[in-house]
Amino acid sequence: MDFSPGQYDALIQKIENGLNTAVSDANAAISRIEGATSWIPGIGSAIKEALDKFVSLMKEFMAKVGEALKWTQIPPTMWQFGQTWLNLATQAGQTAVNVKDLDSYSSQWQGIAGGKYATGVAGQRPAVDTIQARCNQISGACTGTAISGLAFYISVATTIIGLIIAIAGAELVFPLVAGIITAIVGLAGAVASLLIGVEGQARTFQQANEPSDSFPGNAWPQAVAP
Amino acid sequence: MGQPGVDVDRAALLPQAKVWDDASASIGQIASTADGATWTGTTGPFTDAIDAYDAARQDVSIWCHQGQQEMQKIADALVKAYQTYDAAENSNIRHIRHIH
Repeated sequence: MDFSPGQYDALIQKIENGLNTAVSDANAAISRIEGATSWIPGIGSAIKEALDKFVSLMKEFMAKVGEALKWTQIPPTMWQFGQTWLNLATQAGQTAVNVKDLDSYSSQWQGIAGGKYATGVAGQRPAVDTIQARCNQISGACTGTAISGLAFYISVATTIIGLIIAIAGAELVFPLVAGIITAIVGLAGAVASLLIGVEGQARTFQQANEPSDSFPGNAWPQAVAP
Repeated sequence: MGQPGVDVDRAALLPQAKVWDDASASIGQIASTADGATWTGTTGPFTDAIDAYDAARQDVSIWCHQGQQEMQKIADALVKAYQTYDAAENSNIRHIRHIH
């Protein structure tokens, strides 16, 4: 799955529009069903009770989607961070190459001072190499987090579309209640998948934060002669 | 050069210093960029990933700020070495002329 900021914005817009449509269709369905059944003695009150339950579940669903919409900026930001860290990895890689090229000077400074210089700078290139690797790891996990978020919001959009289909034109209360229950279950599944995806990326970030021999004492190697 | 155990191409010291100076700037730039790549809003279900991201980001930033300084020290030391060798060479030339 690839991440396109433009398509992502369109997806979020689709969710917001879908919510409005779902509310509008739900109100229309409630009016329609109430109008058609409220006059029926006994049955009318039972249907009214079921409609109240539907409204309650609809509010619960709307609140959960509204909560999910608070984090819509995270996936595109993490995707952008992924690009930034990829560029940093490239920059670190070029720096490592430049430092490696200094090997061509190794025979041009012999003696005590030259020897101390060679020893003192020995830890620098492995440190730059490790920075490059860490930047790549962080980039990958940022992109992975963005993709997990994208997949979540696609699931939210799909759930809302399913709800709209279930309630649009409904003449009976049963499809309404079944539709909103399916939507709530679908949303819970989307959240569960998101959490699994996020946890996986968190582990990758943690791996990019483990101690490295290139950083003795968890610090950049000092360029000092022993 | 008048110093036992010394074999140095002085002209090679400054280009090396330039490489370390550039490397210092590059690593410093990575540190600055890492400093800016932060998420400051609410994190909701993304919390675990963003917290772990921030820890990794901070480590890279700290290491690179340190690396910038270390590499700059190397560049400065090479320039200093060049100047020291150059001064010794000029001093030796003056002594040789005096003998003649």
